[in-house]
Amino acid sequence: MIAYQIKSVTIKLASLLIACLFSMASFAAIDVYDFDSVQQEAQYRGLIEELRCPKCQNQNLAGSDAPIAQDLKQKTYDLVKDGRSDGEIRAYMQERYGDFISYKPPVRPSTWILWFFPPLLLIILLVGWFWQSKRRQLVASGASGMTADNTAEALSVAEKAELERLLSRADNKDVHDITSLGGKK
Amino acid sequence: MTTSNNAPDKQAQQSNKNTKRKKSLKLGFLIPLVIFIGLVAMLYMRLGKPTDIVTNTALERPVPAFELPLLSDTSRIMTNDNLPDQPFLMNIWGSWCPTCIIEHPFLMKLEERGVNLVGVNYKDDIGDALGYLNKGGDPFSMSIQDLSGQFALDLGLTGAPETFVVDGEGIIRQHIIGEVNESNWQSRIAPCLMVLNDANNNGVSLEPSQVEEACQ
Repeated sequence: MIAYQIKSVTIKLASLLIACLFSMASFAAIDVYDFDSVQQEAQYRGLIEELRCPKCQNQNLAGSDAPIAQDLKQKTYDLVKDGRSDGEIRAYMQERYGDFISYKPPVRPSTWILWFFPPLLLIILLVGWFWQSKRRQLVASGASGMTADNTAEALSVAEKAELERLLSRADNKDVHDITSLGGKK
Repeated sequence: MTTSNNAPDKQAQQSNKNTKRKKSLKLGFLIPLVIFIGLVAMLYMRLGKPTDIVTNTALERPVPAFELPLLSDTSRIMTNDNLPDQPFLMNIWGSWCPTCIIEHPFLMKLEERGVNLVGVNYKDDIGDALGYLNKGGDPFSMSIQDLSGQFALDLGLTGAPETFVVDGEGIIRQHIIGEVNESNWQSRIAPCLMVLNDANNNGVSLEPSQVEEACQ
């Protein structure tokens, strides 16, 4: 009996899900524009996502209902229908509304900082982090009191003797700490 | 015996290194503070400044080519040649636009003061547009009809109303987004128009720096 109830509930849930999916599909299908091909439609959708509404300055064309955004969508549609390339349409918009019109500004000396600063910062941080962690490793692997700078220096005879003495003491006590292990190398 | 001789040396070395490390640690500690102060200075400088980005690129360019009907007689097609030879204001308006209605009485005043206004009726129903001019008066020496909005698009319009100051050679010198009123007329438009008029009357062409100074 319980199993039957669970089954009916699952069926109801599944049909609800399917209904939701279909309603979403029909919602997406409502569109004023007809395209010659799927590629054209994809091009149009890509462009209205990328281009910014000049009136409401923090929305793209796709998300804006301002009259000018509707006009620009219409214009984008006309140009796409006309078989223009993405580059040509971008240039058309840029000629009228400047760099601001696109969420992907062109790469040129005045926009270098925008494009190259974040990756450069990441690289600098990564290099710095590697360098730091390597230094720490070197310090940790050196004898106590050693720093990364003098690990390359050879030990003097007296220092070797001291090291031997410490190591043998450590072995006797069966203490395994990192510095003594590293010192063996 | 040698160990005892070496020990003070080593200690001195160690302490020397420790102080060095401490110093670099202190300087490193200052970096975030310096960055923070830099950020505060940068953000403080921007306080109170306008945040709207002017998207227009029409400035210092000729009025885009157009072939549009005259609003009062749509059988007549106007082109750039029909624009005045004297500096003028080109106002983009529509009867559907609330700010245009607010702006309209001031445009009437400007017409009384002898300012040449050319209207661009932007995406409007012609009946509504003519009704609007009949009711509120017609401040424009002529109005052209931009039904599709293509001419406005070429101008880089973001909405209505917007006003362009055009010089005697048909080059756009100033762009006012939103309403024209007594305050921005006095502070921005009148000085610009005066300089353009002077240059036009004396038959000299202006240096870009002069224009920039007068027509901000």
